Amino acid sequence: MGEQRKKLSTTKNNPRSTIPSRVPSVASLMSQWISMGGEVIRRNLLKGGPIIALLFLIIYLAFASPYFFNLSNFLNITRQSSINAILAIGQTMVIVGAGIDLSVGAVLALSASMAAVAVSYWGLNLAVGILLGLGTGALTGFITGVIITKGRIPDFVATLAMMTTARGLALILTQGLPVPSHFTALKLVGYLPAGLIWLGSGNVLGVPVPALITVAITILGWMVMTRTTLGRAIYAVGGNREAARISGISYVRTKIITYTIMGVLAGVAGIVLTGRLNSANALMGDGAELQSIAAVVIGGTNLFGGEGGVVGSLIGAFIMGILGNGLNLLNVSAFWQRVILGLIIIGVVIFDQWRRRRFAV
Amino acid sequence: MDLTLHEGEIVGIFGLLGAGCTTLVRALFGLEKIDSGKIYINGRSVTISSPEDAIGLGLGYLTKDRKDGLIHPMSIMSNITLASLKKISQLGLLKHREERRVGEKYIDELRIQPPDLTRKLMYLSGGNQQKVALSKWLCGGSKILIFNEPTRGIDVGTKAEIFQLFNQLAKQGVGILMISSELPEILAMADRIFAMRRGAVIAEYRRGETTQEKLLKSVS
Repeated sequence: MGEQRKKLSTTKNNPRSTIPSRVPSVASLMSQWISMGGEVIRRNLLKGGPIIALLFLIIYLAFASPYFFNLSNFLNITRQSSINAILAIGQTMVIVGAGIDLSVGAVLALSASMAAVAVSYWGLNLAVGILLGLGTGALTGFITGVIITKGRIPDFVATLAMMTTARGLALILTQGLPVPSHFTALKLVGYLPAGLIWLGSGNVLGVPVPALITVAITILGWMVMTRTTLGRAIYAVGGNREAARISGISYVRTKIITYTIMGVLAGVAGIVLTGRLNSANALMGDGAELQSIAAVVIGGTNLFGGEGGVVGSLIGAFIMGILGNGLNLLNVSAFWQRVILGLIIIGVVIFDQWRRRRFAV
Repeated sequence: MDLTLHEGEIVGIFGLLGAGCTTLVRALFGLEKIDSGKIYINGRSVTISSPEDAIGLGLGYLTKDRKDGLIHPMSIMSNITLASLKKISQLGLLKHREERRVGEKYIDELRIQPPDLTRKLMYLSGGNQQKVALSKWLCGGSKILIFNEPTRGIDVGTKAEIFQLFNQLAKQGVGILMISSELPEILAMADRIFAMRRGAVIAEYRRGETTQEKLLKSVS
């Protein structure tokens, strides 16, 4: 644990000290304590990087804008960050397994469209509609997993293809129109049920429902990654695919399950977003995949797999949400906000790589 | 030619680069396709088409390159239990206390340094990494251990420890198959030696039947 402990300076090694070397002076004791304290702080800082960044951000914004630090603003931020957070949890699992899913936004739209079409045009009840939506997400995820493992196609390429395919299917399903809409060939049976709206726009005791869903999914994701054999298999396959194989872990099974879970979570995000927007359309979630990847990276997960965690990604999504909110309150243009986000991502990765090289954490 | 291994025996495989030693054992472990030939374990004919099959039949494989057999960003504990996840879990849920117990057991038994379950494998020395690899298979209860160049890149002290372990294991009835390019090693440790050349087993020597020069000549 103490491999990198720096040599503590004492008066003996300091030629400029005029104090007799036998007696430890208050000054030298103090400097010892400060170095040791610094070491402890530094180690925690490195491990809890994203949390520290979050705290600094909140403190800064609290002083920079009077509108920032209040409950209703925070609740708003949680509602806005939820979609990204839910996607980021799934993306974390995929990335830790040394994969990447670029189809996340498209699958979100496809699942949401399926659910909305099911209740608005096919007249199915809400529960069935939601199941169909989630099922669509699961199926696309499953197919993606099969293409990658059996087709031996790199994750990037396969999910890129799935991205355009799913988007196309969503456009076909909705005929390019928002759901529900009066101007389609299909007969409009009813508007989106109140239950669906509630999932995206509702509150429970003042807390936004999407936030509660996000917390639940984070807990589930955390449990899967740290407390199940599946989670262990994901870390193994991501850390060293060949070694995992030699240890009897099935690459195919692990990958397919991971991408299926991602698909389901994209469906959850899609349904929540539909509830918030009061309608679904085929172009929802455009760019959501990159946002989710950004959240994962900011949260400290290694893009090459094998290391990282779900909680970090939640913090990453939250940081992105707070950043957007704070910069809005400070009247920073939306265009500059993108530049700032890009700089932060690069900064985080550079810091993370430096941290890995410098410390045996 | 047949290659046989008995309980509690240490069998060495020796051949020049490209002779097919690694391919042979990889095929035994389900990592390569088998063109011809059969595998018998305890008299029964078996098909091994994946590492899962091999592990199920009690085999364990320590790779030539420690990068291939261990997961470097994972902790010592997770590496040790990697091939025996079923043992430390119930319905897919990991039992952390049980896992720690198992991890500590092997850290003690094999004197793995540093004795820190959470230490990431990449920070261990070559010898200690090899011990973790061995622990993985011991944890899985392997009865047939295949070692590919077991002492490559390991310091002398740990080498001796590892050979002691081999002998202990052999006494406990584990069958050991050892590929080694270090002639003195293989001559000292193996009860029998199989020589390979150009993908075929061409000779079998019992302990003491051959010397360094004779063995080297037979494989070239």
